Amino acid sequence: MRKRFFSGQALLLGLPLWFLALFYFLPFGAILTYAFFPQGALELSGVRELFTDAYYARVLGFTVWQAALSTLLTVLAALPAAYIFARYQFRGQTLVRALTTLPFLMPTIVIAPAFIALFGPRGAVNTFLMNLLHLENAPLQLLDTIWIILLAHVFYNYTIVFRIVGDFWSKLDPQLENAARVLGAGRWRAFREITLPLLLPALAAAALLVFIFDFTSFGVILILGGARLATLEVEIYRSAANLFDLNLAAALSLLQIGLTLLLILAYTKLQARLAAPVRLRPQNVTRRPVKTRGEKIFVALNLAAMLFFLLAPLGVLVLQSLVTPQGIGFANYTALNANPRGSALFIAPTDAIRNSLLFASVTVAFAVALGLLAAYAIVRTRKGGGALDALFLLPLATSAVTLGFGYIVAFSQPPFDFRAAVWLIPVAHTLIALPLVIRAVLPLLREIKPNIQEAAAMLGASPARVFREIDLPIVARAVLIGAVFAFTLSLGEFGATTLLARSEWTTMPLAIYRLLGQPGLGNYGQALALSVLLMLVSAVAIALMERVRVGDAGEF
Amino acid sequence: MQSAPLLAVRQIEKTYANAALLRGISFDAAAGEIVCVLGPSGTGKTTLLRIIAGLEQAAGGQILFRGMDLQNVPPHARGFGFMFQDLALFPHKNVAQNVAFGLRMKNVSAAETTARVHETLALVGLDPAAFATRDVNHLSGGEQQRVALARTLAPRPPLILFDEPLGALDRGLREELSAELRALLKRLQATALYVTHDQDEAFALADRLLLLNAGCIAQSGAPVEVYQKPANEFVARFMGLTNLLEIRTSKIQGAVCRVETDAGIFVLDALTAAADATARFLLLRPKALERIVAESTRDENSLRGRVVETQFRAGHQQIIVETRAGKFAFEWDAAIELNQEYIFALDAQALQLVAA
Repeated sequence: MRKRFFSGQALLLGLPLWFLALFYFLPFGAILTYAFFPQGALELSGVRELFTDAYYARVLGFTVWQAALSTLLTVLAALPAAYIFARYQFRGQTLVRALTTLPFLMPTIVIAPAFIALFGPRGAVNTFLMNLLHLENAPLQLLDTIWIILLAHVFYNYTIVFRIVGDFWSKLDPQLENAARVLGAGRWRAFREITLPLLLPALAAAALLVFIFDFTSFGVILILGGARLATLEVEIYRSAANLFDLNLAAALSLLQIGLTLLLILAYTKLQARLAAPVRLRPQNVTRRPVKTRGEKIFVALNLAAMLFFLLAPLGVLVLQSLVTPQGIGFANYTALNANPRGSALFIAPTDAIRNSLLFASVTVAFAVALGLLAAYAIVRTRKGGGALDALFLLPLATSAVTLGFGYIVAFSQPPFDFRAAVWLIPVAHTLIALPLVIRAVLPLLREIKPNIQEAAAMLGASPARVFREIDLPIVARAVLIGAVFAFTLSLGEFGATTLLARSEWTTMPLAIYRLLGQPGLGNYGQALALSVLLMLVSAVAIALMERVRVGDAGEF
Repeated sequence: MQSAPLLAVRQIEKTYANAALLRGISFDAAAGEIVCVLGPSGTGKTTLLRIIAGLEQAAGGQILFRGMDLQNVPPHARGFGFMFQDLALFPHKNVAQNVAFGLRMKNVSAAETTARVHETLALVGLDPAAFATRDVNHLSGGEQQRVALARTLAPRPPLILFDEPLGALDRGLREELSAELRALLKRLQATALYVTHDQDEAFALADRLLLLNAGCIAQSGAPVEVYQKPANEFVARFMGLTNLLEIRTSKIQGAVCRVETDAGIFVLDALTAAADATARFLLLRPKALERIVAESTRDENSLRGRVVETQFRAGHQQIIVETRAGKFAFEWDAAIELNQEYIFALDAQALQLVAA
């Protein structure tokens, strides 16, 4: 079997590598060239500007401290829930756990309108306060402040800490803490000296992952942060799209790429340590039912707070999308079909929906085909499979805005003059989706071990029958899971698309962004309606995937 | 008339990485017999089993089933059952679908398949109503074991090959399941070849043991026979009979055999001791200590040594005696003092000669 690896098969398995070379490394190289040799000769003005202008030091400083603060708050917010789910057993636990993944699986671009719907000047909280206190103006002015950014980041990343730390905690042997108690440690002392150190690798891994997401956060900050608050990511976008200072954008991109690569590297190192020499116990041993009155109140309060915080923004988004000047109704939705003169978009929002679905479909085809090939190559390569795996993970470490910018620089001159080529959009989406598709497909492909095929043969299945009964169904499931990943990712992709799409190719996230940037109740309502549609489509796709998932498949 | 064996293995050879792994293995298995292939890891037990299944090619030799050469019969056409060490349950099929797989391959009707699946699940101790639709990935280790067994048994194969299927379980569960498995196989009158490295498991299961060492059959026989008359040092040690004294000289004088060792002189009944001039070891069986004797009342068949350790085992006390020729372990139920030197009289019936 392994001998067939050469020739045609090698060519096919090489395709993902070529794709990576052309659409990842080439743009990456173009950015490098642009940062140092904008006109062919060494020119350090962009890089120098970066280091001499105090403004960029402030941008970098803000990027780091908002990410650090967001991370700290996320960890603090999620720890109590992680503890409750790790140590207690109660009815509805599985359902609540599934619900908590919702915010993280939503496209980031939906989160900004959701928080505007909740805390904006016309938002639910302000309307409530104005009615309650008979005020003329909105009392809470959170838009364009750090506070709403922090809230949105905590909301979005809560699940990561809750899941990673909670799952690890639920497998820690409670006997260890009991042993410490017996030896004379108080409850808090036992936690600090035993549980916390054991939990630390999981805690650090989760925090670092959250930090990475907050560090490269784009849509949330662009929309909620206003003109004053800018992270590195937003600054790259502004210098490329608004100031047309490609030199500076390239220098900023380099900084961004370098820093995220370092962070990802640290994360993978930490993740390896999660396999610490701790004896992990099955969850039915570590969990106990909620018994005393105090425990009941503690668990109930925590669950209520958690559900309110995680579901309120999305719920309010749906409700506010139904609010129109004429009362409650679907006017915001029906207006999506129109393209009035002088609107924020040059096309009707329904056309944006069509564009998004078109790009998502193409992305699914590309990403699944390339992802399957790459995963096969990783599984089948006996030596170097790990290196291949790491190579295909690289795009995950690159921010979307940087990638979009890289395409602009790399593909605007011969031999690769694809200026404004519309297919670059699904290609960029494919590249971003590829690592996730591969991660989702790998564990399934690994299930096709030789002994399973042998077991089928021993039960009387001919080689053709083995392929039909064993390989094919498993691959089919992998394809479906990969497809859903690629589909939702493409639908919600904002950072790269915003740099690559011309106005007639506006997608749903772009339309939401532009509509939110325009004054007028109609635009606001339509933005919310579009966000709700985007959220619903993603939720349906994810629900479909959860149905075919086996166990805890998915290597993250 | 003696009927022909169901399975006849003839002179099977196999090399692995340029070294001989199997050097001409031959044995038979009669219908309804449970044969355990026992040996340390790396002796080619699993390879032998896979060759019989058709999953690997032998370098030489023949496999005959009901007198027919299986050389050109692919594994799926042999119709044997095979239970894998890591079970190899189909992860994308539920319990019932796993068990039904072999029946579907034989084109058994849907109605009969359902009936057989339920019957087999019940047979292996799984409630069909509770387990049929369960996801195999979410079962406990023991439950997965039972599903894999049901999947192997459901098509009622004429020969079942087991590749250390209980290897991953802890000792208690393994002992329980191996006894249960024997009862089940006997009830089904199944013919089975069972590979394991665990002698307790093999004793619990086997009608006949096949001890494999360095690619050869070291001994073949009923468990009790192998335990009572180990053919050589390897078998004795593998059976846990480690009280082996190297023989300096031995000679047969009429009805007795006189053996000289570093620990003294021993006289055995030449007939019962399996006297053999080529024997290199004297085996002192665990129950060989008869009584404590006073100083120098007799020289022959006595062992002088210091008790260095006492341990309580399930039904008896084990003592470790340090002698001039090394440490030996015996069963001894009377009171005894630690660190005290004794002279023990030995039961001549518990002494045996063992070949190298």
